Amino acid sequence: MDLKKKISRRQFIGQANCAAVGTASLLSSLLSLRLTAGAASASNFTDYKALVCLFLNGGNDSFNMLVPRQQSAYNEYEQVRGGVGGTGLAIPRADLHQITSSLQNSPNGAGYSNFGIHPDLPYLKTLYDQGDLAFVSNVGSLIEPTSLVQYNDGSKPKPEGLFSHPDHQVHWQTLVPQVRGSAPKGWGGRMAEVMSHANQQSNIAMNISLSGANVLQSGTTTVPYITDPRGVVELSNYGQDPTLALAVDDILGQHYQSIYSKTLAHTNRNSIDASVAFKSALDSLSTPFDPSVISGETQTYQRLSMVSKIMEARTALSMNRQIFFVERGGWDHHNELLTPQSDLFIELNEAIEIFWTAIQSMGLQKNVVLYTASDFGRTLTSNGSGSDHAWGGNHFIISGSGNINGGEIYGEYPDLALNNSSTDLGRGRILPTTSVDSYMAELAYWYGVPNSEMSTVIPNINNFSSSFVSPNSPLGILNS
Amino acid sequence: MPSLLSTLLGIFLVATLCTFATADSFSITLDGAETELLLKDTIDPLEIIEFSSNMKDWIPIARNYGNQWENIFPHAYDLSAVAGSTDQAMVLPTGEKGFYRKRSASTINASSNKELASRFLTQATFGPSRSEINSFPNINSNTFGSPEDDSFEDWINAQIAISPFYHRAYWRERSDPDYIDESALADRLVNEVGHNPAYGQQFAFSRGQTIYRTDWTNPLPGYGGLFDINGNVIDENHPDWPTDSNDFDWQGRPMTGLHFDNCIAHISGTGNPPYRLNKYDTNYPVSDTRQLVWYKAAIDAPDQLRQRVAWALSQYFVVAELGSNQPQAVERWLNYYDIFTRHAFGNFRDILDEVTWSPHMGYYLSHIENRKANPNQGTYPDENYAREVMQLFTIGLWELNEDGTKEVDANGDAIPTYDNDDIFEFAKVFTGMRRPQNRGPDTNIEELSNNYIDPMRVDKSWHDFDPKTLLDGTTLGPFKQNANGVRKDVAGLLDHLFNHKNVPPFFARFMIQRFTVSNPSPAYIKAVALAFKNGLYEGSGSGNRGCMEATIKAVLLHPEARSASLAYDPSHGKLREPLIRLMHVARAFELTSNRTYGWLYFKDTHDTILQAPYESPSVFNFYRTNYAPNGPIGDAALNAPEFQIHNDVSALQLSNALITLIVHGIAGGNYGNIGQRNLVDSVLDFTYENSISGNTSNLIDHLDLILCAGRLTSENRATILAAANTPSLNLTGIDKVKYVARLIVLTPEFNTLY
Repeated sequence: MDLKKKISRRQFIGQANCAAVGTASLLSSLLSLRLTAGAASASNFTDYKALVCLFLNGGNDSFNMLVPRQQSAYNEYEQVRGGVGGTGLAIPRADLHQITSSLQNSPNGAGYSNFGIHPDLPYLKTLYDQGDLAFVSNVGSLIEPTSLVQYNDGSKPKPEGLFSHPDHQVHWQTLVPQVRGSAPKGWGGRMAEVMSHANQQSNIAMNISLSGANVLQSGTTTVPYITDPRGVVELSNYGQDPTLALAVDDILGQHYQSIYSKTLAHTNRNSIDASVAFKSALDSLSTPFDPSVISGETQTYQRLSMVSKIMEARTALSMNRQIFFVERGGWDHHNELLTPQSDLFIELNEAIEIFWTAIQSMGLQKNVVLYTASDFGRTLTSNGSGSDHAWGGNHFIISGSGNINGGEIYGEYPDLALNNSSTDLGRGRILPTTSVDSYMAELAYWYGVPNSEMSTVIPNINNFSSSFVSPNSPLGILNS
Repeated sequence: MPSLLSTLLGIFLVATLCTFATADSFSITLDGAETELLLKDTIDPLEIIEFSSNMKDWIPIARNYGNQWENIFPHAYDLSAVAGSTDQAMVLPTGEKGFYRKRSASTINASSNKELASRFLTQATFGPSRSEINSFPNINSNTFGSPEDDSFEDWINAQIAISPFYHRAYWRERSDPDYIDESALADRLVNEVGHNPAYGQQFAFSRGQTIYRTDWTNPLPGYGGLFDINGNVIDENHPDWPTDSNDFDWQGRPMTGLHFDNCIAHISGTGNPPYRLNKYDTNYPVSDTRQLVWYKAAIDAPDQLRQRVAWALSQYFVVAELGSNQPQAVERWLNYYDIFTRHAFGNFRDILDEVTWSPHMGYYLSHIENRKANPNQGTYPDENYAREVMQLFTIGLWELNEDGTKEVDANGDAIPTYDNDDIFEFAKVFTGMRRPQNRGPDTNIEELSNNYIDPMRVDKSWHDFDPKTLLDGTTLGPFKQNANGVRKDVAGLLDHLFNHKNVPPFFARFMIQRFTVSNPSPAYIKAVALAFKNGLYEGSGSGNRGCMEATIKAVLLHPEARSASLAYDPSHGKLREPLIRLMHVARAFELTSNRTYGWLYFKDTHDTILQAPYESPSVFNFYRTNYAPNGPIGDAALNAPEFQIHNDVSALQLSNALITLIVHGIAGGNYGNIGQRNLVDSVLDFTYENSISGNTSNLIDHLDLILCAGRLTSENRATILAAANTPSLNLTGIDKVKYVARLIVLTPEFNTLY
């Protein structure tokens, strides 16, 4: 059976269009999406929920982020990673932050309970022990649940462009891995279209990116509002010189024949209007945004700080639902794994701690979910100093306990022994046992996507629904 | 300039078993399951057929701009001549039912010679200037720009003949005084020139781990505040110890020595507002050196076409700062970049070879120090380069036809060019390539701890000598297990990839997108691909596969790049690269440095306009070739790479960057977003513009010519004229020039190219 045929690109785009009836071809981060209120049932949103995607661009070697500590399993881990020191990639067992998982200590899990968090992520250990953080193990892009036998005999469809950066990055964001490229659009963009009635009063897009253009937040009719962590950028002199402003308005308001001119004029128009609205919202806070406070900090720190500041301005921006995109690059550790990964973990650990403390001080810890995404996991075996592109990897979700069933490892932590018969494709490339779809559906249900719209947001979701823990919580992590 | 005169001639609904025909447009026949469009020979200067499945989004599928009907990328429908007439028939595949319409432009306004030259220079250089337009070959000829005219090719040939600006050579002449000229030696490159005493030291360099900056911290005797000309330590007992308390830096170090003296002398030489220089003028981070050289080349080097080709190639064979090899090093980066300046009109295979053997690339894509599998240690060869050399540098992801469209299998599906087994296999080829030996203690290169200048050396004991299965199932090797065998293995794989049928169209599309249009027609791609494949474009070129000269000529001289009619095709053209737009303004008004050492120092533009030399965010360049922004471009299934870095923030940052340059010059901090904090160190020369500013209309015409190639719409012209003549503003002279220029750079006509 050829699943690729089943959802052709054309059909797929048609499907997505249905969710956006009435917007015509408006390209806008700044538009009246209230027109689309009919797309989902129009209910009144009074609560606030925000998703924060932390995208680790390049492919985090996440079997060094969450490591088996159980002695026998650790021994296998140490062996496949080539040992500690030299060309080996293993983290010494004694350096790991010890955690336990009861879910993994079952036949459906790894079969043991002791795990360790990377030494440079102590704050994750704190959150885990407080019940504010959960891991999800061995996640990767799939089209259908696929066993190693099925992978090898080709009886199940495979994602396009396996093990390549751009393909896997896009698959995580479109959730349509049977299609190569960004044409299916991002699931965050689709979710914004389905949920557009949540922010009816707002002039700013539901999707906000601190890291530039991305596939995740681009829907059929929406694009993210992109902002700079160092503050709002305004067009020079636009607010000071009325003659100039009028001329700029005239220029950007012209009808242009060229599609490039048209797109440029439209983007620049929106950019100017959004910068005016955004600046006024941030200026209205009791402690207005001050970029000098974060200058000199790491980029993850700066970006997450801006996210928390925007959340603080949620009322001024009339936001009930928001999706934030924060990307950190530099994880493609072919050359050298251990030191650069440590450096990045140190940056993440600090930034997340500052961010989550700010969320807690606003009392929003049950309204905010931060989750990680990354291209893929990496080969368990070494190439001499680093690791290569692979597939399944480990991730974490942070939210306030009560909203999240934290202090657990979900999914199935895999057997790490080289050439094992359940998950190893060779070289320690691990076949995922939890699809990105199930992981993202967990977030989408929490966010408020109704069941009737779930297949619009996550097109392949029905291929995985038979193993859902409960109808509104595929993995059992978040309380919707 | 004309307004657009597109007219909608006909919309046809394809319904079952009916035929429409009109005498003056086109007709549709349904023949069983197939739809056939009968396309009349051209009537208007430009005609476009569009398809829509919903009467909302119209996708262009065929076009005629005066010669023949042709497909529009990525569509490759069967087009054939109709016997006994000048018409053509286009057969659409089953299932493409919907609506078709024809648009046409009935009147094409002729451009002046200078406008045609300006448009060409916008494509082929970092931006036209008044003098380059005026000195363009045959610029006053009556036949300029006609099909028989060779002026554009003459210009290209003249460019090729110009002695290259080598980035590494420019830096070596102006950095370490001990560098000697080894450019003529065997095993050395032409850019390994010596220091030129006339220039002194204008750029930072390193000897071993010691950095020699161009400021008072320089340890070279006489140059900084550490040692005097005789090598004696400058301490508080030394006569050079400053007496003014302001002449100590923030760390209490004395600011003295040659660089400081040069700087102070320079400040007193100018010192007028708005030139806000200060005594830190010669101080800068070493990692910015490569960009100082690049900006000099882009703005001032006469071999503009070579520099543009090199810039394009550097976006194809990307080595970028993130995750890379010692940003504080300088020479290795410049030497890598010079692969592209040296071979800009040479051969692609040579570029591929030098890139593959470059230790700089080897470090970036991690095939340096890569060893064969070691079962005992459980290690395998690094797969990084094996993957990217295929995906990005040669064949791409999908099997292609010669015109760049995707090949399909019996099911209509695109065909991948390789899979992970091939990567695993080819990773074995790129083993045993190791860091070159250090040159030694009195090295003539910036070595820091290792040599990243000379090609990687071979270590046969690290190489996997097993025969490798190639993409077509044939076998590479086995070769003799010696150093030569390793070279044959690598060369064999590179030849295999270079000779793959995908390379010509894959590379052709990339180069076309960098210079002229985002969505080249299959005919245009094919013409460039054939030039690459045969090494000839209209008789010129080396005749060898991979000829860059022929490829570049095809890109710039093909009718699709030159035709004026296509300006009326909405999907023709591109968004220009942000960095090139910035360089254009710098060149149009002859940006001149006021810095002590003449630097044109644009600072950290990758943070603002998302593009800077050496600052690609990854090996995938600043943008992907198939990026499609939402809106009319995405709706029409077309691409526009540069829009990937045109977002809510960068759009305004770029507008502000252009305005900063016009209003102040290269300025940072409170004055703008392109320079060092609170420095205004290089300014534009508006002398000519000032001289014609009395007549606003003439001023706008001139700025339109050099900034928009005369494409400013009549509406925008009127808007800008009214704004500049607003009585309450009372604009005159240079103020008026700047006001008009800052509005023009906000128009789509400046920012796009068509």
